[in-house]
Amino acid sequence: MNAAMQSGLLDLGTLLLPELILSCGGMLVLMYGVFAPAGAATTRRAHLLAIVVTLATAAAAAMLADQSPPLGAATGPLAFDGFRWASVAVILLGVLGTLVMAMEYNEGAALTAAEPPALVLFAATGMLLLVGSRELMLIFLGLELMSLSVYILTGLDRSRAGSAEAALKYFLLGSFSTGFLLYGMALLYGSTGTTSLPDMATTIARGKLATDPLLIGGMALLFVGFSFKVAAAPFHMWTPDVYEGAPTPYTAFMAAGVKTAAFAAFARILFDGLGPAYVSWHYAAWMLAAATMIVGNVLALVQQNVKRMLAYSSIAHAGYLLVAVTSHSSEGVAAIVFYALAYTVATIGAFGVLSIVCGGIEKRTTLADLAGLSRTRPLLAAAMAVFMLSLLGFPVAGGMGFFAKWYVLRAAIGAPAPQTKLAVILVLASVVSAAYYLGVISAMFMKPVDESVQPARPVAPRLTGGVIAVAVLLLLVLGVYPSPAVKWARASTLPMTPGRANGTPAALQALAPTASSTVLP
Amino acid sequence: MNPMSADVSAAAGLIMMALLAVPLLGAVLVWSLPRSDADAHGRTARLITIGLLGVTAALSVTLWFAVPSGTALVDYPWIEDFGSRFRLAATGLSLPLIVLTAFLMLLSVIATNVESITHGVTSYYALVLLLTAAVLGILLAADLLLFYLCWELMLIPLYFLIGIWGSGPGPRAGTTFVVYTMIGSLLMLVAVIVVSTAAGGTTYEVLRDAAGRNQLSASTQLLCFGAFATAFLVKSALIPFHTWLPDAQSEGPPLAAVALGIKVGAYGMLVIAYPFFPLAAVDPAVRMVLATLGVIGVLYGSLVALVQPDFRRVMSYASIAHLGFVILGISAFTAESLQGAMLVMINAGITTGGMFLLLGMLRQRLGDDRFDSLGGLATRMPLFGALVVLFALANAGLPGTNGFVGEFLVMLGSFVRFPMLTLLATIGVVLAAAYLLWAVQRMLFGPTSTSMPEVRDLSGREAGVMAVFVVAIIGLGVAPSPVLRRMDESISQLINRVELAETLGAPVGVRPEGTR
Repeated sequence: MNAAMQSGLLDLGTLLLPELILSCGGMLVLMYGVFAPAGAATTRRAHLLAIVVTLATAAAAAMLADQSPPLGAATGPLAFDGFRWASVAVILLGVLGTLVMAMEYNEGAALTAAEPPALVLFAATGMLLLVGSRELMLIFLGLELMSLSVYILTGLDRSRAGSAEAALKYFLLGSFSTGFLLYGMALLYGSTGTTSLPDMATTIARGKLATDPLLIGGMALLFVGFSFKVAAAPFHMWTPDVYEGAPTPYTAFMAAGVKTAAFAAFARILFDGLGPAYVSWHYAAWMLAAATMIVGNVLALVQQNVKRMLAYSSIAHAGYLLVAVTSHSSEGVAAIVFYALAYTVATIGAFGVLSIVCGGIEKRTTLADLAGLSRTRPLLAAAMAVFMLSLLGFPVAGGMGFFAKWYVLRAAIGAPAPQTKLAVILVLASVVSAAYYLGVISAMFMKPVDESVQPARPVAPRLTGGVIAVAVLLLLVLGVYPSPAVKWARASTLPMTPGRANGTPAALQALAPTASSTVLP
Repeated sequence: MNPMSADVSAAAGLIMMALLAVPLLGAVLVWSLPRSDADAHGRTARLITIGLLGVTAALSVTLWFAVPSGTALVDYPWIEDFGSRFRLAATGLSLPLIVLTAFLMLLSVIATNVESITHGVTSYYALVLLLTAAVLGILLAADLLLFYLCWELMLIPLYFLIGIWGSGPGPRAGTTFVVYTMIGSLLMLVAVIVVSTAAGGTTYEVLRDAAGRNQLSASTQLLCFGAFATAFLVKSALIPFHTWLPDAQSEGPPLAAVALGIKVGAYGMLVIAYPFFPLAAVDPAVRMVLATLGVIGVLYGSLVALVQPDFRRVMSYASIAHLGFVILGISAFTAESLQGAMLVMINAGITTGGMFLLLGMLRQRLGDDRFDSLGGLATRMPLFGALVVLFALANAGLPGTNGFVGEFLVMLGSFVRFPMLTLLATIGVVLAAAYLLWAVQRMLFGPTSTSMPEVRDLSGREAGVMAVFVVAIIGLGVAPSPVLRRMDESISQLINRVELAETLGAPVGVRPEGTR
């Protein structure tokens, strides 16, 4: 009996409070849409309602996070650790940004309906479940809830063929990958006889199952499924088309929220459940990270459409995050959280700028549309420059993005089995990325306004502008004084059963360094 | 520490903070001025910038006198989790360069006139101030993370300055510059993390202690030294990492060319690469490679300078040759050669900087300044001509000018260790005279080109700026001892530290890489 249980905190209702608020809020928004007269005003009010629900969820999560019992105290299917709350915070930040931007965008693009904000809330519920579960079945449930909602959001703009095409592609490929994932989970169950992550870890450690063929097969399928969700090469093909086709605010949602949630769940499964099998999955994660960084960055080089370019860049960022996963240490966990925060803020901001620039007309997001932006809208151009530099990982001017890379590199180099080669690949890939991020900046600042391009319909982007301003401020302040964010990330520990902190099994400790030195190319 | 010196260092600390704060806050101030291309606004922005840079220059001189000898320190907590502190220091190695930077930036802004910046005036001056802050930050930092931040920050203003206000295919030259330097600096980032993880912090003090205990194995030191040296040598454009420099210097605005002439990379070699990785630094093979690269730089730079189409490119290659001398001096690592290397760094900053400003003035007047379309300028612009001749001679190392002392000391100090290489490097001195005098002859003398429009000689403002350069050239040539004395203590400390590590030899408690 621990303190939390005594105070009755561990009952399922309390533990699920954020998810409950979100899903009930989502239904409320849906109901409001049914009974209120259709029109722009209703859409706006539905968005506002969704924003209030999100804030309430954040408050509930913050309250619960304060009560967090010491690590490992929670044994149920739901996690009660720093990692969950940190991921929830990052996801809710993304949701908030998306909702505010969508409120303005949907009005401009004549997408008047109350359903989109409700769908965002449902997707967010799925994400929260995804990052909060220590149970494969719940994780799968969360993943599906998230994915189905996002499929619809992608195809929201029925007036554009591109949107529908993206939704269909996403749906077909997504369902396919879900099949892999489910089969992988089934194999894991077959090997260990449990779907609970902590139990799985114990079983693997006790039964020396790390090299069990059934387990390895299950892990392989799991990797395929999650690689698809986080857009890691070679399972990234859907990303550019879907990102390009989806309405811009929802592209931001996909790039920030979906990726963070899927990554958090992936890391939790690998660290919490499959930690003792590190020797078996380490090499796969290593290769996946290297391939993703290289493919994402190289393909981003040749893109003319900035939305597509950001899609490839998001692939590259999945690779950087995989480096942190490969390190398999508590520093790695903190690095994932810190990186996800920096990446989310910069991505939301960048798509915000794009949604202003295109003015409701998709396709107007090419480099030519951005040319000379510094003359017509200097502040917007400066903000975009900050986001690009942040994604590039440039210090001071790019703000927090630099410390995100720094943190990942630190985790990789300081890991129990140092990933120095992967760190070098990471920095070389970053050099490649400089070329296309700077391409955006040079288009905005060093090219004249393209006269052949008709200026997009002007919108008064007050709300989106606000989101962008907050994003810039967050990035720059945390880029000079990152200590608060570092402390916050440090607190987001994950029970790495049977945690390295309280003694890795001797067998693994002996295996891990040798494995990394002999197996690595 | 007695109370007297504590007072002094508190004052020096304030000055150091102000040296960073004035240009940094100034950049924000200037950027927030009303945005318009009207002349009046441009003038205001320029005047404010000149005022702020004037304050910065005055502060740098005050700092020179406020730090009697040795080191002053500013120390605040910053990112405890990484063992990083906001720590500034002024040493004998950084002080001369701090003063040089502050004055070069001030003079460059005064030298370029209002009309040469036709658009984005406030952004231009804000970037100039940001650049000043970044370079001063590099020189003042006493924490490796802080150093790295400033090191990278320096790229941003230069990228924009070259890309927006440069001539020709500006964005390309800027992007080449950034990508080139990023390859080096990101490898450096990996090394920063490796060394700080091993030492448990990023302040210079912690890292020096770790180096003193030889905490890193010789092979790790070698890899880290390699990463740092690559970053530093790319940034200061040593052969074979030099190809970005001529484009950036000749296509960027004169101010960017001047800023690129401040060899922060060579400074980094002295304060970071050598003291933190002593085992790698004293390795005979490393010494030999660096010295050879230096001499190749001297010879190659000089030979290529012979065949350049315009004077700016000649000066770019001349500065590549100068850097060769600096690296030769550093790799020889004797007291004289190090003093010489520092002097060459300072002198190259002054003479090539002054020359780039002069050439910028000419370009402003003529537009086309290739040798083919020039000739006989000395009769049209006698003052300009006289200054070009003086700067060229100083560059070539004529006794009595600053150029002579530095190169002489480098060769004196290096001869002990690398007699053959040093002899080869002397050929570079002869070549320097050849390419500079030939360039001067093609530009200033001979028949006047018929296609050349009428030109005015230097204005009073321009001549005033140049007068400062002339004073510095002659002053440092005749009496370099105040500067040399200032560096003495820091240089002997550096040599002691590195040689101590050499005598200690391989790590006592050998620990495998990555364990802590």
